[in-house]
Amino acid sequence: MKDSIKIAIVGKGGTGKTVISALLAKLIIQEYDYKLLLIDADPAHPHLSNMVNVNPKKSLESVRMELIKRTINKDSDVDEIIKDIDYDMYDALIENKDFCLFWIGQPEGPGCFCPSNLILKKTIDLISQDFEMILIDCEAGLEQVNRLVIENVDIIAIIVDPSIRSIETAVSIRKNSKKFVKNDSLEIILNRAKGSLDKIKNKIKELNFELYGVIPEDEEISKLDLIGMPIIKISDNSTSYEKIKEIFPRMVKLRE
Amino acid sequence: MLTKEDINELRDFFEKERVRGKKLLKYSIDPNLLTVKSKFKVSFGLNKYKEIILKEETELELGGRGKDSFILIYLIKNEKMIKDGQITLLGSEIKEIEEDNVHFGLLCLIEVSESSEKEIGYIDNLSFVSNGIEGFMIRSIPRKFWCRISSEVLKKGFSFEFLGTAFYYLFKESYGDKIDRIEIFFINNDLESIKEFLKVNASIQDKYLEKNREKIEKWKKKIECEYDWGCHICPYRFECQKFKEILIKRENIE
Repeated sequence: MKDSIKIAIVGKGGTGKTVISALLAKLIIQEYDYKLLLIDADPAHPHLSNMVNVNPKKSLESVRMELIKRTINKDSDVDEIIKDIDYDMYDALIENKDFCLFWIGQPEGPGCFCPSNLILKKTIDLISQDFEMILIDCEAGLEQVNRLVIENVDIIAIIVDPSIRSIETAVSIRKNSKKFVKNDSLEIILNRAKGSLDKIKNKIKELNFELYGVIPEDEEISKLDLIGMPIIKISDNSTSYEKIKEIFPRMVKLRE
Repeated sequence: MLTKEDINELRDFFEKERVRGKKLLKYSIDPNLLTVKSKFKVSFGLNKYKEIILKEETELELGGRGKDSFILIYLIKNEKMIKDGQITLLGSEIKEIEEDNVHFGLLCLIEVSESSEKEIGYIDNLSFVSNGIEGFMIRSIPRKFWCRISSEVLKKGFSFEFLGTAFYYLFKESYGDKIDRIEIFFINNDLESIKEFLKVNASIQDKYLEKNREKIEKWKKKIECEYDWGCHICPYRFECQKFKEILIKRENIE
């Protein structure tokens, strides 16, 4: 059976990861025939969810906390918990006709050193099999995502903006992400590009990164952000969306 | 791999339930796909129905929350015991179901050659079935079967006969020459029969217990812990122990 294609979007905070994730989601929904699962890994606030115009009532972390509370309750029935665990996960899944979405949420209580994570991770892995493409909007790196989500991703796109600091972060992410990625599909998208890009492009090349593509500064995104409109509503002929259309096939082809 | 005796025992279960007075229906799948497609008003085709069936579109769930269910897919090597294209239904057809969520069981016996068995391995991903049947969506959960059927296709006459036929042809299309024969069994909305069947199945699987024990031991080692200073001073020791019990018990359940 063909495995799902898993794409992780990572990068230094503020480089535009979530906007790019939303643009990719828009493209996949409108122009490709993949059954799509989005994973919003922002712990504090469901930014990706809002950008694709959905509002999660429950996070996976809240499901995990409820599970912990039930487990440690003196009157809890282990058999009942086992019956319910897998159904409870679906309470956190947002569904519409175009995609499904999980919001991971903020870890609380017993953190990484709790076997409850293993239950969630295995269940998410299983649910992911129902989808052909999984797009994960990560925090800066992959560690938090890997705790809960998916063991191996097929494609990692590191988002940088025209700053040396964001490229240095990319180097660090690459170093830490190698164990999570199946092959060498770990490349850069240069976002918010303006002015002369020669220095940045040379630096990227010097550090042995390949460029998936360059997305220019897009006024339309700023306008949508200003009024709080979901990015998924951006016009099809916006400059950033046009660029994403060129970048996505390159990402997927490299994986093949 | 199941033996001839194992297959007989599984098949005999259904016959015994019939003798006990339970409803048992048998269907034979037409080997001509064109005839099949004209017989049913609902459609199927590999990767042709990737739709997400929403809660509000669902009229019937098989094995939903609060209901017992199972799915067992056995690969049988060259036994020539598999009745190719036969569907056995213990319980009533879909049109007689009054509830919106029922207990449900699915057993597939798939005959393969020796080399195919190694190639196919373990069939646990049914996304090709979920994406191949109109108005039907599987929601993956471990060791159980849970699906949604839309009101639209129920109006068109979606039945277990259709579902078994779609399964049969989708498996054949997906695996091609690797699969020789397929026989399908359903248990519909009968908790007692499901529990009894699982006991029969468990007694068969007990023969292969050693393999399961290894699986449990592997699971125990997979539980990651970042608290390096030792369990005896870990503030989450109690939760951790409780969870390990759940993990182990969950893996024991079939």
